Amino acid sequence: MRKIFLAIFIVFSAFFISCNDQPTCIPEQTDLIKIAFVDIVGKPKNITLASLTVDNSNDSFPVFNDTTANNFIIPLNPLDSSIIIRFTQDTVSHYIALSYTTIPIVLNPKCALEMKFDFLKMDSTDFEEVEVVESAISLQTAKNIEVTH
Amino acid sequence: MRLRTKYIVLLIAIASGAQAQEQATKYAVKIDTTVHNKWAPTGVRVGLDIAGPIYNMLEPTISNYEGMADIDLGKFFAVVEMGKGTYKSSETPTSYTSDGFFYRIGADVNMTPKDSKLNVLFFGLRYATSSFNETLKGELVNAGWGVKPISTEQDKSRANWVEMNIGMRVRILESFFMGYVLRFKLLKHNTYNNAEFETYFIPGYGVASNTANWGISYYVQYRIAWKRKPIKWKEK
Repeated sequence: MRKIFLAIFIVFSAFFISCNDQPTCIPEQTDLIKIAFVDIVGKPKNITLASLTVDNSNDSFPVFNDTTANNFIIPLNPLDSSIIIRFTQDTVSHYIALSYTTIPIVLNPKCALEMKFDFLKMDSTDFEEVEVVESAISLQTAKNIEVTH
Repeated sequence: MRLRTKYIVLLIAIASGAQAQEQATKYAVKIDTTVHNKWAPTGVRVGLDIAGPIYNMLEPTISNYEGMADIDLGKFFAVVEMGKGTYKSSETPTSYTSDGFFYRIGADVNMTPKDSKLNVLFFGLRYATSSFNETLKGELVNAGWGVKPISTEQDKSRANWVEMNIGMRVRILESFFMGYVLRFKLLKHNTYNNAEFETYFIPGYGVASNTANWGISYYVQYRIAWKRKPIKWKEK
């Protein structure tokens, strides 16, 4: 019995020590949201932008220039909890003001800090119809915001 | 003739005496339901974990000190385990500490209830809870938006979880036992007093982002017995 006991102890000790592995530091969070443009019947609609910028109180972040697409991937600001997205076409400009929550995450102390984003909310816009279809922000999200234009 | 009968009676007496001796040890006695209450506790066992301090020597970031006590109730044991756990990392780029106490309550089922030395192979369930304080210092670096230093703390965070355990306790010397508990920890739930960041390490549980964790305790135990334990004797 004692020999079995000793053998099990050695096996579990080896298992225990081997579990102490090194972190991979692969980010698990995303700071990207997806905005899709649709027409009045809900079909994807291409729009041409001269520029698309993301602003916060201190800074402006150009994302696209001279682009035609029906959906855009926008980076949120991890250092703040709100942004304004400006869509500039030839002669007109629109905006969507968004807010969200942020909470730091320690993936591993040997890795850099990550920020987890959640509870995406639209504060204001001058588009006619904008809907937050998914307020959770994750890599799996297909579409966060839908703009009928 | 009378002498032969005397011998036979003597032999039977010796034989039955030997039988009776085999059915009781220093620690256990064959149960007699007319005399013994099988649920009556016969002893308390207290123990200290030595796996935590050994692991701490290999991995100074994590320290875990814990103790346990159990009391026998027939083939079951009521168990309480308490401990203190700390995670302290001053690594770059992130410095993080988590420090707190945890306890577990539960029961073990003795899978070897006929062992006359009261060695135990068991399966157990625990409900565990941990209360801890954390600090975090680091930098949030974003290629587009820049750098934000973070220095914050959160107090009185709590977590609870459930454990399924297997293990053994073997009598080493008189009242001293040694044995391990292999723990499978699951159904973790966190609550925050002030959520400044997501918990990385829960004392007693381990890395918080894991939905399940493994753990091991290795106890040195002392059993204080006030009577021999009545057991169903294992016929040889």
